Amino acid sequence: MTDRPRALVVGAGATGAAFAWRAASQGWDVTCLERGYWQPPTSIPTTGSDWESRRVRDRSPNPNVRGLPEDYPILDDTSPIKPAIFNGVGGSTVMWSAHVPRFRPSDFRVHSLDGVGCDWPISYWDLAPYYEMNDRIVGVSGRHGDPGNPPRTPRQTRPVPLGGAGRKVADALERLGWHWWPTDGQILTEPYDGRPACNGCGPCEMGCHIGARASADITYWPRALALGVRLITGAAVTRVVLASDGRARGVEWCDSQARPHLSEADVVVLACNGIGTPRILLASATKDHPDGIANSSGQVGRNLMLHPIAGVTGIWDDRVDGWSGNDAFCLLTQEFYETDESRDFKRGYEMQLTRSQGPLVTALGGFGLDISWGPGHHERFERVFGHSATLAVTCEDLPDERNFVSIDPSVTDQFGVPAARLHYTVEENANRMLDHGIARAQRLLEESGARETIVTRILPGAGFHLMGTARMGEDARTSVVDASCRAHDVSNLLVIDGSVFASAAAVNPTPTMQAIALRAADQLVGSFA
Amino acid sequence: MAGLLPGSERWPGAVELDLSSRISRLLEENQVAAGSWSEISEWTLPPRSDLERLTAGLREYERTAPDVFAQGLLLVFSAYYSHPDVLRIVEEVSGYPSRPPQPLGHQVLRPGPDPEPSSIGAMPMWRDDGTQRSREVRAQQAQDPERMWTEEEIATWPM
Repeated sequence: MTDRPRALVVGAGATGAAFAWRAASQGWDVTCLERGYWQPPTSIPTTGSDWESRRVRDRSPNPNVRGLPEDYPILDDTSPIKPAIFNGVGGSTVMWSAHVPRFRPSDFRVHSLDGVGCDWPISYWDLAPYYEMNDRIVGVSGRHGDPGNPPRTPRQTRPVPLGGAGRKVADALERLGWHWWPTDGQILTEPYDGRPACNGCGPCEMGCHIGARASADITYWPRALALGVRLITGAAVTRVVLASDGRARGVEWCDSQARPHLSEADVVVLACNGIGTPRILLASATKDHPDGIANSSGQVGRNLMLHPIAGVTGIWDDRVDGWSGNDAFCLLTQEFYETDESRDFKRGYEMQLTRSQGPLVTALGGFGLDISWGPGHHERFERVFGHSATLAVTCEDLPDERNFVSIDPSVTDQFGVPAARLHYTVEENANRMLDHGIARAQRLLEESGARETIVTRILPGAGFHLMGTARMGEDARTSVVDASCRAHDVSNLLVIDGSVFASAAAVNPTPTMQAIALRAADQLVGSFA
Repeated sequence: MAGLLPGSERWPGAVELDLSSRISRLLEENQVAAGSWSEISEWTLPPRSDLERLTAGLREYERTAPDVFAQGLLLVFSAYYSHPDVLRIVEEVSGYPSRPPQPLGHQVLRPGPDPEPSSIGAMPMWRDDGTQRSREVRAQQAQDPERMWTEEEIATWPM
């Protein structure tokens, strides 16, 4: 290893870790800069009596609530959906639910098939081997054979248990004749690769104390470090620096003592998520590049896609113990996933059954449970707690230039870098899709025997799928990176996170992001061979 | 607190439990909440003996100072729903173990073996993306829906 690596990766999350491992496994010298830190199991509060209150304070997924020194400000008053990210080794996979459905082949060709959005310059078939590679590294529970998706290898472990509510909803789906499947998750149900099986504790998003739920810090990073990748924590990158020939020279960053550094490399790789990456690109503006770098198209920050998600909660008379088991998924239905010309919207949505929460979040009315304080509170609590589960209706978001990330110099982080600002409105197509999905979710829950359903039209805290803000495309006039994730304007600058998504599909993006990162590493290494 | 969480036959009211040390600890960790708590302490409210008027008074503050009210509610509920006496009742009424989630975890309710989707071969297949590859893979999958594909086989698809 030298002081000047061949590849300098910014961000040690899901994609930065995958890229670093894959490039290093082919002999590349890689350094990664991460503004956050390692999260030891002892930092996860689920062993303490105050675990739930910490969920809404210092372990909140919203960085503006959490307010850790390594978090950067994200101004969100111009968005109904608030950010949910984490800065640290493992990135947002430290605080995620690990639900990992894949994009379908049609998701890469939405313009050709449905006349909306834009096509990707790559196909599902380009990513298929990398989806499999990723699954093998992280360990996926599930069941192969879903006719709603192309074939995949047998999953590493069996699916997570359906639980009380899952059984009811699965039976209802059978009666309705709708597609359903035990969903893939990066949560082990049996020991795998030295990690234990999930013990059903519930709040995956707070971090997994036992390591049954995958996160990049326990899957990719041990492998990458063993290959010699250098990981520097507490390193907040402030800008990408270009050389006089227009190529990337390296990055400037500050350590935890605010001391400035310059790191140079042959290739700079941004893996900072759909907010952090455009923030850095825009904040790297110079006299020669007043709109930020890699931005001759004007598309950096544009086309922000977040997935509007509705929550439709069912309450049953009998116990379903929704507080047990991984909280965010057990099954999904993609019955309404594809465009149907008889509907008043293009593209579609999926519904995944999430379980429920602990006593405090329930008492506070989480997931729209409608539990008021004051007289009657306890009666309602008894009626709801352990008797509910929620269908999350995840809608495809179409790219729209009016939804974007900008930087706002009126607010800066401790290193003087402007805050990111979200500009986001749920567009009309998604609104019509939400109407349809909410009605179908209510129908499904009623069929399952739910006595009451409660609708939350938009889950405000669901800003965890951050896509489209440095999109991939063949045309340098309308996209930021090419099919290999190289910036059109700066050939040795790569973007490998969700920013590059040309479309959003209606599923969680992480396995697709990781597959793209692995492929980008292969493409890069191959181009130097 | 009396108005937020009045007691009942089964449940203790918030004022019947000693929540002060719990709330103090929470306030030490949260400056925003501390500011709100200080503001709340200045509110003029009817006595707790008149629950109806107390509730109405709180509802008015909830309407006129929603952010401050929400912080106060979070503090009181956080202290209340982590109190051992309350968690014991939660366990009685719901089966939820009165302990943190880890390290023991929770047993997931299993009314029996989980069902399999009943019509694996009959469900609608994924949508053709218009490519030759798509058509070939769909045809093979339709012929043998339960086939165990290997990573090596899948890796040859884009070749």
